[in-house]
Amino acid sequence: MRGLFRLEPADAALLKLEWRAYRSMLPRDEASLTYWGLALTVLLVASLLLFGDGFSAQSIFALGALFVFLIGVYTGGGKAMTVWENGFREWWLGLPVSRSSLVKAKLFAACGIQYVAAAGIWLVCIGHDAVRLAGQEETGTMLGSDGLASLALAHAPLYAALVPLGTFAGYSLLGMYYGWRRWLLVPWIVVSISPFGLFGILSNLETDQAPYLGAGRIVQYAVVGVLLAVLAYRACLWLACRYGIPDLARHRPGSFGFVYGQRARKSAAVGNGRIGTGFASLYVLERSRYAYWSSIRPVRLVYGGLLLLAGVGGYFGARDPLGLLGGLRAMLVIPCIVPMLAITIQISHEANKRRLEWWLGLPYPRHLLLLARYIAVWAFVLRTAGGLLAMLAAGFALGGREGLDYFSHDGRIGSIFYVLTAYFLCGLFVSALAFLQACTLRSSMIGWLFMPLWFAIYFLPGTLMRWIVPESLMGATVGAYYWAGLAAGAALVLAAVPLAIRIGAKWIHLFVFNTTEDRWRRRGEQTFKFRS
Amino acid sequence: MADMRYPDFNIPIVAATKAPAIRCVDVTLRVKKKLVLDGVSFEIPAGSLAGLLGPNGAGKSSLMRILTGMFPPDSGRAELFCAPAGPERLGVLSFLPDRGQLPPYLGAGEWLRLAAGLYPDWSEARMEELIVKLDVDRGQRIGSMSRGQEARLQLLTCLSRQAPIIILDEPFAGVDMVSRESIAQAVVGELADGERTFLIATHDIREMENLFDRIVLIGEGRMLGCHDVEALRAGGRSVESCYRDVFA
Repeated sequence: MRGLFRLEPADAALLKLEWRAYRSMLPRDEASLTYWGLALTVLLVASLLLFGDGFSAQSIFALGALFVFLIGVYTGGGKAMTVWENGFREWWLGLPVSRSSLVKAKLFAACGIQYVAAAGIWLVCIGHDAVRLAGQEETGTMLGSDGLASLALAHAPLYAALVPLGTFAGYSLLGMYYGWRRWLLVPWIVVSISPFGLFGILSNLETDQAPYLGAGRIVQYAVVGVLLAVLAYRACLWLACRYGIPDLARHRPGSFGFVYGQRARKSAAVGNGRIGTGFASLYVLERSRYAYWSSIRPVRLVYGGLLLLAGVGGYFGARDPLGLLGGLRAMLVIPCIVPMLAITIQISHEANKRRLEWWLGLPYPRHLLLLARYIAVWAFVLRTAGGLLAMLAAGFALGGREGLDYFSHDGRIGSIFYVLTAYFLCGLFVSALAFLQACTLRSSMIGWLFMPLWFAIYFLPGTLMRWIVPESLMGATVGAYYWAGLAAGAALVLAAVPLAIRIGAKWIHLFVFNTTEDRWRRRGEQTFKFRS
Repeated sequence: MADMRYPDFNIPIVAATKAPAIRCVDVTLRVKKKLVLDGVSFEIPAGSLAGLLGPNGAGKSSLMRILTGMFPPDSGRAELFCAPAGPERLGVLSFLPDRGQLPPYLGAGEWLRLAAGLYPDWSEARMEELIVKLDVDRGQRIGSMSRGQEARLQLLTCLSRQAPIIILDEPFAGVDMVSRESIAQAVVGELADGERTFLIATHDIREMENLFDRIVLIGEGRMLGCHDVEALRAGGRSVESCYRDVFA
């Protein structure tokens, strides 16, 4: 085990180099301490507002654990995605050290900064529970048999294990860009997105329903977490060293995978039909991205498999309609998040920032550019989700009369439409918020404060749905009160989406000036001295 | 959604040529705390081919981004045919960004078909002519192109438009010598119509020296000179020697 994590003496400089990239984020002086203090306070206030009644102390710590894991996955994954376009990449690859040393230094440095973030989240969880407990006379409902101190102490090793687990899982993306390894993207995406679905489950747990979130169990989870982290570390090193680094060395910035011979000539992104002019052509341009993805064989195979699964799920779900509806409700969070994630990548991924200049140079008002992008992603999501729902319905219909009879009584069918509409509106709302990221580039202060909130936005669909689609509504007749609320929500979304697009259009150009290269060039003028 | 074109998109070029094509008056820009442009002023007459010259980090790309309406200057005025530059003026100019990239998942032919729909002033005839001149393979996917091949496709996209102003930011960056020659030839070919205004930022002065009829020199965000090339030559100086005098 010792050899596994060993760094050669020469690697110390490499680790220092990687760590240097994160050092400016550390709370090391008055200004950065203020930023951290403010960011944690914002997070605490947001958590108190969003995660109020219905959340036990255990749920809050478990939610914190989800955050810690996801931050690790997305930080590692984000770094693994941006290294392809990093200007320093070739220098880095040319350093006279082993491949494993190169990767280890990146992994350890990334873990380092995330331990700081995890400690912050842990403190926020303690603060949240302490504030809520202080305001309650009867603490048993919220706390169960564990004390706050024992819960906090039990979660500390779990958080410590989840940091490397998430980071190594995230960084393993480095070896999944090309060849057969792209198949591994499927489990990677499942690992990175499915924790969002757990949110709904965690938010509805009473203390007596969740003995598996007690302090004793949490320590056991921490041990499992450490073992999984070691496995993830080995897998990540193997993938990154054996495949990722050779792929990186061959990669040309801005290209889109290795396409040779026939594959270099084939493209089904636009098709042979008439393209049209004006906004129609803008839409085709945006749609072509998804058309290309949908035409890739592994993607088609995965989608075919999902369709089959949906059909089978519908067939067996006909015997337990309520369970099927509950499962559907948990799964619908995913199409709410995907458009937001897609828009975020399209405007803020390093390679895509370089494509923004051509895009912004198209002779159309910017809000139309954003609108075309927004409509295209939703058209793709609706088509994909629509296919899955259609298969689910077909399987359900074939599964026997029991399920059909259940929904044909007392207007229960309305609850399905209500759930689908509510999630659709929620998805429309949160994905439009993705355009607001451009505003965070206006000042580093806004950026720092927005960062934790931005992460919390990914949990917004789950949070909102607790109020809009409560458990009690599943399979019940939806009353006029809920329909009226939904209509009000639709009106709000119809007002908010154009507003978010307008605001995003005003500041979208800031991404052009905030490539990593540009940021470092500007930061270079105010850099502090490198301490040995 | 009836017609998304800007109203001034098809402005008559003959009428437009009466005014200076590009005018900057005391343009100042800060990005974060850094002063990128400091009171830059110059004028480019319509129909001329101007070079925007200066060392790395001089502010050339930022100036071009202001002219393309990517963002407004902090102070001063940037005008195209006497109207302020801005996103709503993108119809009168065709811009080749420095290190810009096209969607890599598209084939070149697909991109060109899309471009014909995206740019209302697209000329199919000119595109066909440039495909031959710049040796662009329509069947090839953009993601699999070499840097030179993609640079030629990007230039083709710019030049296939009939916009009266063409702004090229480092069209030769990363391009091999043979491709550079074909790009320069394409620019010369374009000039034959005598109605367009070119503003080209480049470090490759030698390739373009004979084509420029005006040069604007910028260093550290400040204006260091604006010269008529004929006047320079009459005085026994070349563009290169003038550049060396200012920056060496």
